[in-house]
Amino acid sequence: MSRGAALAAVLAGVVLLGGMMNTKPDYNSTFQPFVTNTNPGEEGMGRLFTARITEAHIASQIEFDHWGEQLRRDSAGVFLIVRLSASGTARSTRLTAIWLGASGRQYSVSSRVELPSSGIEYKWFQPGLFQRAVAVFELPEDEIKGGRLALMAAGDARLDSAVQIPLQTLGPKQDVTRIGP
Amino acid sequence: MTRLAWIAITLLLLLATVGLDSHLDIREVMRDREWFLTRTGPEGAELQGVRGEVKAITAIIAQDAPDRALVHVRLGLAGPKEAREAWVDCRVSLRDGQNRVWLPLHANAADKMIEMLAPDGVNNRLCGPGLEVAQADRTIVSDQLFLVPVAVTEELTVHVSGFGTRPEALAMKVAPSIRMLP
Repeated sequence: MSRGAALAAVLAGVVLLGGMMNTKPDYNSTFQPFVTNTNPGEEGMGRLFTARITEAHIASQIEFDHWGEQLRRDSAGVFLIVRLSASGTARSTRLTAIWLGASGRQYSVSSRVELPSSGIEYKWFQPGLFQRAVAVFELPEDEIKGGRLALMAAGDARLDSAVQIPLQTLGPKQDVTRIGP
Repeated sequence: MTRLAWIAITLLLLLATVGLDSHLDIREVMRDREWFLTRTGPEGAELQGVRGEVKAITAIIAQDAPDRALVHVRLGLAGPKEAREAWVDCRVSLRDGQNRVWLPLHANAADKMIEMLAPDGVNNRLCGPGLEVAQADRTIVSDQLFLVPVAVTEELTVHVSGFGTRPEALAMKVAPSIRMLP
């Protein structure tokens, strides 16, 4: 091989390597959950669970029982209350819910509204049994239209499944919503 | 020929690296999975020095929720201290014919329900860590409550294993007695 050809091979290698390094997927892209997009109103199925939104509405204030004490929370934004029905498929499973806002921001379930008997973060979903749960998000109102609910098995979601479900309908805005047990 | 030898050595070293690198991950998976089952009836069997048995199992069905059953499982474990220490902890689950897994309920309400449903009204708490601290001369009794579809109550198997026994586990086929609540 001539000296010129060898130099060309080395340069080509450097270019290829540089290209690979610059287009390498980042950590989040590599390990993010496998997303299943579900049509509004339909049931979404993940690896360990299946779920469907049954109702959603927004409220300025929320009332709920907290170990026998009546609490009321208000917000600089609004509360989005999403009721859903879910079941485990292969094993008893807990779920994590995230609201993917219209702007791309992600909202976790509000920790200001503790619902031990109905909150999605407290529930175990058993195989073969549908159970109702509620997810309450606190967010700016303009994040709701065009957003969607993301559900995944609680814990390590890397390379697991996630289900994304847009809202089919949004109920009328309420001043105060009471969430029972 | 020399070139082939170098390729072979490279491949061997690559395999060795992958093997060493994945060794811990494989061990971690094995400690979580129940692959090798000792299948028995409710009378149970010995697993790595500890004898496990299902002392009682009852399925409770309420009339206003006829599709689901609360299953109360009373489990007994007995064995020398060294064997119990080697188990490390205890994991109990129910499985059906499709190998679906139900885990015990952890809510406070489950503790109260066990007290209501247990034949002697006593809740011995979940089987878990602490096997080694029990006295050597007695069976360690635990109570678990599961929520399952009524349709699977006739095909249930109680699985019991410890961190130290997995991937080995006990699989005890059971036939719960049915209790209807008004």
